[in-house]
Amino acid sequence: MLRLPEQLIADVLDRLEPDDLATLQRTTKGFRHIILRRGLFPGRVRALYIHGTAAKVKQKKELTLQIKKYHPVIRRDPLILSLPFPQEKKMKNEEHTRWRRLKRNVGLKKQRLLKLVTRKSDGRAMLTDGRQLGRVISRITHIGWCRYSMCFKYLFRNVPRFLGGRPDCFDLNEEFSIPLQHDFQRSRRPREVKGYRRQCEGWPGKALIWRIETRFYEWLSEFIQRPKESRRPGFLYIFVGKGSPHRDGHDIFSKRIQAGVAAHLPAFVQIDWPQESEAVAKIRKAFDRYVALREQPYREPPELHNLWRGKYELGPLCVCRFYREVGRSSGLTLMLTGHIQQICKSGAVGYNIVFSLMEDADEKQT
Amino acid sequence: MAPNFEEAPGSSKRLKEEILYRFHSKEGHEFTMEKAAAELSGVVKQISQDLGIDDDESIRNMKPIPLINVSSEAFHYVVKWCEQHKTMPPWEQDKWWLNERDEEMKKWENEFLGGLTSEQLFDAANYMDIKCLLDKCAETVAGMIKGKSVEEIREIWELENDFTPEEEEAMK
Repeated sequence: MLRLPEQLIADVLDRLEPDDLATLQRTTKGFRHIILRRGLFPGRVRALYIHGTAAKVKQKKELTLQIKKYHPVIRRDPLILSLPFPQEKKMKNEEHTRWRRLKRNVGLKKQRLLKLVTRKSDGRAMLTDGRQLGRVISRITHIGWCRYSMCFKYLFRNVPRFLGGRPDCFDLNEEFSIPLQHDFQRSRRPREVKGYRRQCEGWPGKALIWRIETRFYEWLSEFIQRPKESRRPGFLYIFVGKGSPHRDGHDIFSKRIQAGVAAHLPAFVQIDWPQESEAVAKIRKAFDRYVALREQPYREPPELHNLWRGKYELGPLCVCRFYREVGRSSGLTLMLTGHIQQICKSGAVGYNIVFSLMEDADEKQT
Repeated sequence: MAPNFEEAPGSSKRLKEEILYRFHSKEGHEFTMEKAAAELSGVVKQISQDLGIDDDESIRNMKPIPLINVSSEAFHYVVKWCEQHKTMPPWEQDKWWLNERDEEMKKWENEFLGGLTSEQLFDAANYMDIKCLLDKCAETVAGMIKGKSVEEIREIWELENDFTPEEEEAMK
């Protein structure tokens, strides 16, 4: 019978991949208990998805390094990982298109960029052909219609460091001084978007994403700086709208939320153009799950596949409202927000951060 | 075959000129360890600090440190490890292992721990707070788990399956 010091067990678990953890937890009740207690739900989250405009990637990359310190599951995993998403095939085509545009717009020689990336990468992100390069670019740059020249200027300067190097220091406040925010807000929508403009009228896309993410990371930065004992690493994320994997960047936000948030949060609920009753039911169900989990923190959540890392206590609640057709969904969103706030006030949630960001300038934040 | 502790590298028959810490194992055997090697142990460092021992003469005059939880056999291996790593820079999480070890050292470590599954050694490393050895032990144990099936892991460590068939079914 194996008997190991507790610290050693912890170190061993830190070194195991989710698949191995999944196997180990099935060997004995003891191991299962330890693994679940430590929140190492096998096969769940591996890393933050490095995604966004180049400037944000830098932040995320560095943030990932910080997060890795606190999340054993992702501690030894590659920095750049994608989570599967249903539109993979479509994205590949888009990458191709993007690559052609990139060449045209920026006049960047593929070989040159390729050389740059391969020379400095650390092996994990070693690129051998344009297709792979496209995949990496899609993770490094904004998948939507971002300003390639700006991104690639940045990319070109910094890819080696993203892929191979590690930052020497990390100052989140400085990182969030966001020089590009201004740029995003003022930037003219790229020509390519015109055809799509009708569908996302009034959508100052990146600025909004930026705002949402900034808020989120502000919270996160505060969170990870808290003393360990007062850290409550999970919270429920409710994401309303913008879940459909369109090509305009909505899907990016969704995936970002799924991956980035999932790395930190026990769950999120995504509601994309639901009926009101359906949305409320989903949220109610999610709350119920979390309240139940809080009561029984060491038990496996009842529906693990719906939860990312569900053993944690219920933490802050983040609510993002993000929708493009205000007339259609404002009623729904307001109702949902009211419902959620009501639940928060009722004390079902330990503590909450509720914020709501809307694309329509006429609507007020609640 | 059990090691001959009288002839072991850490035995008290070593040269008196060296600056040696002395230890008593659980069985009462006396061992010595060179200062640089012994100070890989957090416990030794802490004891020295607590007792205000900061010069070589004090170390020579120091009474043997009793290691009531460390068997002679385990300590024998601990000494070997520490002697091998005494010239390494202080251990730091991650950096130490990634940057400082050369291939030869890695090979030695693998050979050293390759055949060992001694819990006593793990306990000794833990008790003496030898970070680098603990880290390597963790790596070794993790290596024994990686890629194995449930049955194989149970077999390696002689674990008893305490799940009911229903629980096993639910986990699948």
